[in-house]
Amino acid sequence: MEQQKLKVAMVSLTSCEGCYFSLLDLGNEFLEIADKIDLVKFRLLEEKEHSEIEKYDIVFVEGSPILKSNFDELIDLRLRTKKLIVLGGCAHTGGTYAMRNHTDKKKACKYVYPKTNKKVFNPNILELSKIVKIDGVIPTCPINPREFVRFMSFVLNSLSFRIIERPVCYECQLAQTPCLLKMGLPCFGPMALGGCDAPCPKAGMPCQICRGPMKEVQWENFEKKIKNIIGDEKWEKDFNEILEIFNIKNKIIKSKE
Amino acid sequence: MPKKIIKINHLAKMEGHASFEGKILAGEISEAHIITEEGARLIEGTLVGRHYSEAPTITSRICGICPIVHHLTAVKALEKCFDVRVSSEVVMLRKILELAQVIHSHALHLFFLSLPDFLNYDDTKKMAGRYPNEAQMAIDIRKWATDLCLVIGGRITHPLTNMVGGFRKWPEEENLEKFLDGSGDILEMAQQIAQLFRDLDYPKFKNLGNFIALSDDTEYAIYDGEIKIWETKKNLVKKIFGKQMKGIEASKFVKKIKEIELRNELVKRVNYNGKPFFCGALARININKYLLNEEAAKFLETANIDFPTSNTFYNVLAQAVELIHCVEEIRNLLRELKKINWLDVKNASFKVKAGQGVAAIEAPRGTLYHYYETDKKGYIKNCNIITPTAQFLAKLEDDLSVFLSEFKNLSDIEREKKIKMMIRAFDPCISCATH
Repeated sequence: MEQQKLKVAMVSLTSCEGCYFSLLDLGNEFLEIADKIDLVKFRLLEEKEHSEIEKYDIVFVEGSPILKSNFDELIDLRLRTKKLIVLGGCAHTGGTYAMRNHTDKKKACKYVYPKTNKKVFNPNILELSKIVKIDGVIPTCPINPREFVRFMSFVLNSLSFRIIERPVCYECQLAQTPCLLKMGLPCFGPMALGGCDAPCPKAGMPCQICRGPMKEVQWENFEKKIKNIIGDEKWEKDFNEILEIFNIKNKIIKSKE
Repeated sequence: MPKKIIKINHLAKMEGHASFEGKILAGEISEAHIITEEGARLIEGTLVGRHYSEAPTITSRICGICPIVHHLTAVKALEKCFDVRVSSEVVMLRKILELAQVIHSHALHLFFLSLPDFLNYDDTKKMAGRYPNEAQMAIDIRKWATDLCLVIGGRITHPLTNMVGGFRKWPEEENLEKFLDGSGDILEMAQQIAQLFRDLDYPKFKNLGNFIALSDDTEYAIYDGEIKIWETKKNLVKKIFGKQMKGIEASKFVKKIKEIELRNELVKRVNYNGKPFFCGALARININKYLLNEEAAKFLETANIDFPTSNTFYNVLAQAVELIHCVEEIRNLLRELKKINWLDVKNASFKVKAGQGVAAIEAPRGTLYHYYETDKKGYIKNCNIITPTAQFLAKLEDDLSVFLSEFKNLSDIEREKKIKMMIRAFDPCISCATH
């Protein structure tokens, strides 16, 4: 007897939609997964609006709530789904758009909208777990589509998906990528939660810890070592600036305590 | 009082969220509005005060379908700030990257987003099921292009390898060669897909307005060039295009276009000389068609359509022509790159300084402009990003209002279909527009 397919929705709040394009980039592999589920909502492929009373088994949400309607939609989806999985950096950590939280956001708004800024809705950018209960995360900006495939293969076999606690360095070493830290570049790989397959260091770009830190990191040890490599002053600057890009700074300070 | 209000909520099958609202007055549409539904991300506002090196990383997050062009345009504008001259190899690799970006964006838009409108399908998956061979070709072309982005850019969405002065990591030679080997098959597929679009039934339509694109005397401009403008009003004498047209430097042109803030709308409308204009594949073909590569030019001949044209539905066909052109162009560049001894290739060294720079690159949807002003330590003092969709949104609204006045007697459902068809023919990217 054929099992009832899982009803799945893929939704974007304000975002670049890069996580969903990463899924489309899987090509046939994505279409095969789509065949195994009942993809009832995915606006990149379908016109039809499904009825308001629709209940979902899994809702994937990408992006940041920046419009009032984004907040409403998120809460509404939460009420209508068994599981809510956040997808990508914005939804997981607040991501790049949360940079406004580290600056004068009113000034930033006035810079972009000199005349109409007072009417522009300009909230602090929050990770979705601060607004609704979430049931899982596929991190990275943008998501690693391979991790999505792994996630789906767990779910389709009724297993629960878990990200293994090991650093980005682990994946760098597997790929025999030359160590950027040793070259004197401010790479956060040793602290960062792996699973992305380390695309940044492979491309010569230091890890900016977009997936967030591992749960138990020895931050002080890392700081001591990295200061030896890149110098105290540069470290202070890099720490402050780089960790704002994906809104990770506050998460690091917490794990330091 | 408006007699009838037409509203289409949550337009699907396009990049980003938007709705449509039109008002019919006495049987004629007098107004058409695209209401964008993306929050204000304030990218420029948050970039002020940041280190220049962050700009390519952050601006690529504006858009998930064309992050490469944001990444490259930021890098190029910053190179102008610091007077950096990169090597010809760097330029060639960046050109391939941008061409591959255009291919994968066009392949997706043409087959999966726009074609269902012409063939009357709501659901792309159903349509793909009816045309399995063509669907597979579109997927294969896209895969070839995205793999190329991966090899040169380090990642498909949100690329990594480019930086001011050149590349963090050079692509492997043997990897590039694989793409050259595959290019013959991909070119054939691109031709077959293009034929499908040549044989579609395009609605008749014309409207006045400007068409604006980068243009260069020696090649079909994508990565560099001057701005050229084709005015449908004056230049009805069609011989005056291409080389004879006068170009304007991007840095001067951006001063001539106006960005206008609207109430209750986060995307500024852009005009040139007080008028809306079109940018994108059709503007490029209209202005630069005489520089298309051989196969693309041959294909265009068979289409039997008189370019330049003001019928913006032909933007879809223009993208199909570019699909062929870009595959050919990548093949040419890969052949050139084969001659290079990579051991001799170096990044440009430079000193960070106070400066200003404007750069323009042709994104899949039209010319993208980035402007930066830096202080002597390389921190951004001022910046501005003008995206293609923000530029053509006013033109889309203008065309929609003209187009709909021609369909007074259609049923609501049919009218709605036509509206969506035109909107998607423009291939808007609301994420880009609402950065």
